[in-house]
Amino acid sequence: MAGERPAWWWWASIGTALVVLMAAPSYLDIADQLDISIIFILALLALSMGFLWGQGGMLSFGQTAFFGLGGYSYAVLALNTGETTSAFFIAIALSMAFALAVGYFMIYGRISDIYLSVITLVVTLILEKGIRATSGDQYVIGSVRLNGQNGIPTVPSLQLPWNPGTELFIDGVFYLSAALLVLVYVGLRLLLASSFGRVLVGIRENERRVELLGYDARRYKLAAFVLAGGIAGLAGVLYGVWGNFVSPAMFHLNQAAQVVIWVIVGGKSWLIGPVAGTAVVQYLSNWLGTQGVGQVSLWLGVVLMIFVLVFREGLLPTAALAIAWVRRRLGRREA
Amino acid sequence: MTAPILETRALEKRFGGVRAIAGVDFRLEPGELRCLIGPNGAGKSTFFKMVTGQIPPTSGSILFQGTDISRAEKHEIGRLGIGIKNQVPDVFNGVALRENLWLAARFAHGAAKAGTLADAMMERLELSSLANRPVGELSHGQRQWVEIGMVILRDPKIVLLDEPSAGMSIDETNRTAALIREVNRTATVVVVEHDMQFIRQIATKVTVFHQGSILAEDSFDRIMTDQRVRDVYLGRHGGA
Ligand SMILES: Nc1ncnc2c1ncn2[C@@H]1O[C@H](COP(=O)(O)OP(=O)(O)OP(=O)(O)O)[C@@H](O)[C@H]1O
Ligand SMILES: [Mg+2]
Repeated sequence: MAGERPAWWWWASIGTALVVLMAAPSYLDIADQLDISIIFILALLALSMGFLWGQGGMLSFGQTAFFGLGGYSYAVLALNTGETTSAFFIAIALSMAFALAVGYFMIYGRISDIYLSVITLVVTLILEKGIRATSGDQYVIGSVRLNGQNGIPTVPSLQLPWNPGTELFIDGVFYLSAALLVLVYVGLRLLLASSFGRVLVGIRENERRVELLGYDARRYKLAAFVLAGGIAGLAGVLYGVWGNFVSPAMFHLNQAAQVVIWVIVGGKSWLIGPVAGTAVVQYLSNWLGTQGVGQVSLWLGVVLMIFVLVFREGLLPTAALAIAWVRRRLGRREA
Repeated sequence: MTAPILETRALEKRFGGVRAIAGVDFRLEPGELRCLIGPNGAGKSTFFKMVTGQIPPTSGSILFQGTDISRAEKHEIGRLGIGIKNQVPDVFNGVALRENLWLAARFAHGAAKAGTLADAMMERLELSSLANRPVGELSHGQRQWVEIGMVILRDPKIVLLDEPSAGMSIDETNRTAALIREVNRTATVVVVEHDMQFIRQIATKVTVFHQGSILAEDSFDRIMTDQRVRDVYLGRHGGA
């Protein structure tokens, strides 16, 4: 799959998805729009993790660090300046800058893959603890109190860049998060078909061979890490905009682990896997929540175990294998 | 005497107490096709890995066309023009054969030409029918060829081949020998091998490693009649 340009049917699917998504709000009530927008936003977070892991071979356990940082940066900037467009972009840039610093240390330090997972997890946990400790009055950035574990409850909605008087309402957030999810997905898919993406997949397969061929693998890995940090940061900004709220829970271990679960359930070898995994798991946990089964996270744990043990490739690649198998059986019968 | 293309001076590698390479002074002239032999554990692979930056020397120096590369990174050495086929097939197992070759060609020749060059290399290796198969599914011998193909696509000045005919049938081995002679027309080649028939086919000059040092260096025929070399090999068999 790596290296191939997307086929016509792929572009047709993207076009169809866009049409459906843009028409959807007219047929959905506000509550559904909210539920679905958050899935899009979390899917962006999962995509950033799944891209790094599935394509770059880097298992970052702490994409939530950039997610939370994006959300908090947006909140603080927008509240201080009263202007949301620049806050949106600067927050993403800050997430990327932080990913550059963390990634440089890990990748140029040539730490092993397992330590990359551990360090990213530790980074997000440190940020969480740090933010939680800011409940005192003295923790103020500009005019914004960080509020410790209570989070910042008054995160401004996005204003239209060309008309700052108008704020995005719930359907606006739906359109924006849907469009950005599609945009990021398409962008990453095209990136994988580019020279950069093909080298990245080579690094995942065999970093030593890539280097012996003369590529500086560290540059490619760092670029991928920074890009993924930016995508996670974007998800964080949208999360803040979605609920007008950011809190230390964005950095929390539970959140970090959920991202990994989404990616494992959906499958990491295809970019669409993390998106599907997020949708399925989020839908399932919402549904379980209404069924009175008690511990939702316990049941999710069971689902995860099933995937890790039985459907190792994740939902979509497993489904593809099943389809290929059925086709072969049918083909044999016809022959 | 011409200036050497590759030279090591008092090169040494210790793994804990083991002196895997114990002060090697090695010279390679441009255009040579050299064979490196020696019993298991003699340090041949360790020597290759140091020359290509895969492991750092404990002491001593490695000079490529006069520049010291003993502390250079793998990719820098690759760019300078030293290519290696490692002892264990070292390819991109999960991706298609053509993609493996494309990645190699892309680096030296750019994305525009890489596709054509990859296709041409598949023809040359007679593997075109397997273009879209993941390399991990190919036979051991085919993977060795893919790796050699990747090395050649970089247009290296020196090609190091660590046991290129291991696990190959007689027919495959003969094709590999022909391929190596062809590569030698444009590059200096060093081959590590155990198969004496194979070495007889390709060698001009042979270097014998033993316990991390150079034991002998001469023409194939003289090496084969050298008593020290015989002792080393017989000693190994006797002791084993
Ligand atoms: N990474 C390592 N750690 C510790 N010892 C090592 C390491 N690599 C090699 N050695 C030791 O160094 C010595 C030389 O090994 P090397 O692989 O270079 O031998 P070789 O000549 O290539 O043998 P073979 O013909 O079996 O491939 C051996 O004693 C080996 O056990
Ligand atoms: Mg060896």
